[in-house]
Amino acid sequence: MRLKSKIILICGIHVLTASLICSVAVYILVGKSFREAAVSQGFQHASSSVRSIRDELLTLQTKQKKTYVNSNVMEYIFKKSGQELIACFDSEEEEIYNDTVFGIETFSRLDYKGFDEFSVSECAHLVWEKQHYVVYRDYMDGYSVYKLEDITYVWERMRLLGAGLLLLTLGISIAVSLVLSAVLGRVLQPLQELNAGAKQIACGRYDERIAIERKDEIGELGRNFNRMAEAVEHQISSLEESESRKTLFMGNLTHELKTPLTAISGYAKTLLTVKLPEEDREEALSYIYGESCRLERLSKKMMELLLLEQAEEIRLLDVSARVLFHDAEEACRKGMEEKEVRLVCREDGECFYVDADLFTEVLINLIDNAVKASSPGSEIILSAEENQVVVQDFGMGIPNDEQEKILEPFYMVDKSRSRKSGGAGLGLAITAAILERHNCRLQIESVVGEGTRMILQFV
Amino acid sequence: MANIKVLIVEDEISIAKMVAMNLKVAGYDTTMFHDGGEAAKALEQEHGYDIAILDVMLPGMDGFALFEVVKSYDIPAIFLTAKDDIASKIQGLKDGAEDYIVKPFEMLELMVRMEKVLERTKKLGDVIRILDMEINFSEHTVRKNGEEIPLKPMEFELLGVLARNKNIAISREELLRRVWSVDYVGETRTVDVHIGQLRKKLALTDHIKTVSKIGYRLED
Repeated sequence: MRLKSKIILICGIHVLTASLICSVAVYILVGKSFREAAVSQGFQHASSSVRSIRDELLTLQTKQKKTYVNSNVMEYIFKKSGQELIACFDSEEEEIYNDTVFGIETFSRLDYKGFDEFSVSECAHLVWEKQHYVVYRDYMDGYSVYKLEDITYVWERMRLLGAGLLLLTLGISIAVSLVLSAVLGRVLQPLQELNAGAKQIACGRYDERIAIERKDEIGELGRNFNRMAEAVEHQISSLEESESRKTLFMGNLTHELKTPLTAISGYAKTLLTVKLPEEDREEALSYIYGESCRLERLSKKMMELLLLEQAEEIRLLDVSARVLFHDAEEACRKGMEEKEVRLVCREDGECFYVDADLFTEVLINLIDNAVKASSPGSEIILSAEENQVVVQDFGMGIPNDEQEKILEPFYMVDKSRSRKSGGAGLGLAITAAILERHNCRLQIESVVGEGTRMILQFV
Repeated sequence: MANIKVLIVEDEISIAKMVAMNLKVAGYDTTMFHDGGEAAKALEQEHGYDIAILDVMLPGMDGFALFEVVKSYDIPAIFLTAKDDIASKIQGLKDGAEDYIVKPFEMLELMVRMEKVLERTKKLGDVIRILDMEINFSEHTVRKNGEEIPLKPMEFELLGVLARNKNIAISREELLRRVWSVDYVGETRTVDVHIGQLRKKLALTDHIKTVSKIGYRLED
């Protein structure tokens, strides 16, 4: 069942019950006061009618100087008065005059009550064939007088009132339901939008947003929904990004593995099947050895990169630039001597908050790259400044469009040259990973033919 | 007859050398380049190659661009690459490459495909001279010291395969596939019997070597 129908049903039932209770209360109260009014009116009316007859009788007694009243006089008086619905009986319950359809038995059976505690006269309620009467009883010189006042109109009015109230109740319920339906339609509209939006997101359209301009809970829900969609979109896109990075990485790795494997298996097969001259055999063996070394280097670097990405904490300490530079220089000495490149260190007692081993490796990687790019006889400047370390060479430089790619794993600007010098294309990727752990930014300034400045900026 | 000249352009020196090494012992002349641009430049001077083996990802000039140059000199080409995606395969073949081999590859496979290309372009000589024999493929005859030796058809085919891949051991299964066009392993006895016949008829006992666990090799 739809939420809207549920709310309408529940509210409808409530309104109906409430108005029914009200109607019944109104009916009872109004009916009671109606009846009381009618009884009281009937009583007054009847008492005035009877009084007029009594007055008539007194007048007659005064005129004829008689105090004795007999039944003939009574009958005469009643007849003369022309009153309707009135009856008179003597003390023996003999009928003197009767303009009603009831006899003395009916009257005497009724339960009379005094209208108030002082009055002698009494009245009772008589129902006969759906006709309601107020029966007024009084005594006149030993005769009992019964005067009937028709109050049936009260019950008719009550019926009308009841029917009216019932109609009103139903009308109110229907009206409330209709109004509720219209209002709920507007109130629940955003829920349907939310629903549609959620469906879209479930289908994978994570850029879906909902426009709800409201200040109530639904508006809040909408805003939170959008926030959730945003979070989901962000998560998904970062997942996708890392996934595609991984795929690219795996693709590159496979490619990097394929070449040495092809060479190793190819040379091994050649050695097994081909009758080779001695020098070719030796060459084949040396290639097998060289390529397996390359695989080993590759796996070592991969391991390093993997461990870096998984390592939970790195040990950061204050390390002086002097120590860092010295260690890096020692490690690179051999390569620099081979290429006749000079390293110039400039530092003034600066300290950096780094992991000494990892940061030295960064410097070694960068110096290595600088040495590879430099021509024999040139120099490389390693300098420490307040918040940064700069490695500068005067070598061949990196073209602009390559500068971003060089940080990607397995990317090599000059593939064959890198291979010759034993590179796997992971050095700068490792460097970038280490720097990331240090909250350090790597900035590359390079001009082709003039040289490269690698700036390590601590944030 | 002059040896068949092969142009190898492959930036991985180890692989280029390996291909060259195998082709050399099988009697091909090889020229190697490791840079697409250099290869294109060298082709301006010397383009008398019978077939080219090109890598796709090359420094200087990529394999597809280099292929246009090679094609302009009417040299058939086989691509040799680590790029195993359908798109570049289709591009290579659509441009008119003879074949497309994905690394890692088997040297024998490369040589079979090269032979197919050379056969089609009629670069493969009808006559092979090896040791004191002259194998004539159009006449289906073998002469030893000028004297014709009668061979059964299958024996001749077997000798042909061994001679075309001289100094390279070929497995019994491979020989079955190439000579008898059958693919199952159980029948390798047939190969042994025919090898025995060849050894006897042509007095090749010293030259058709049994390479243990591998197969047979005709050495010159």
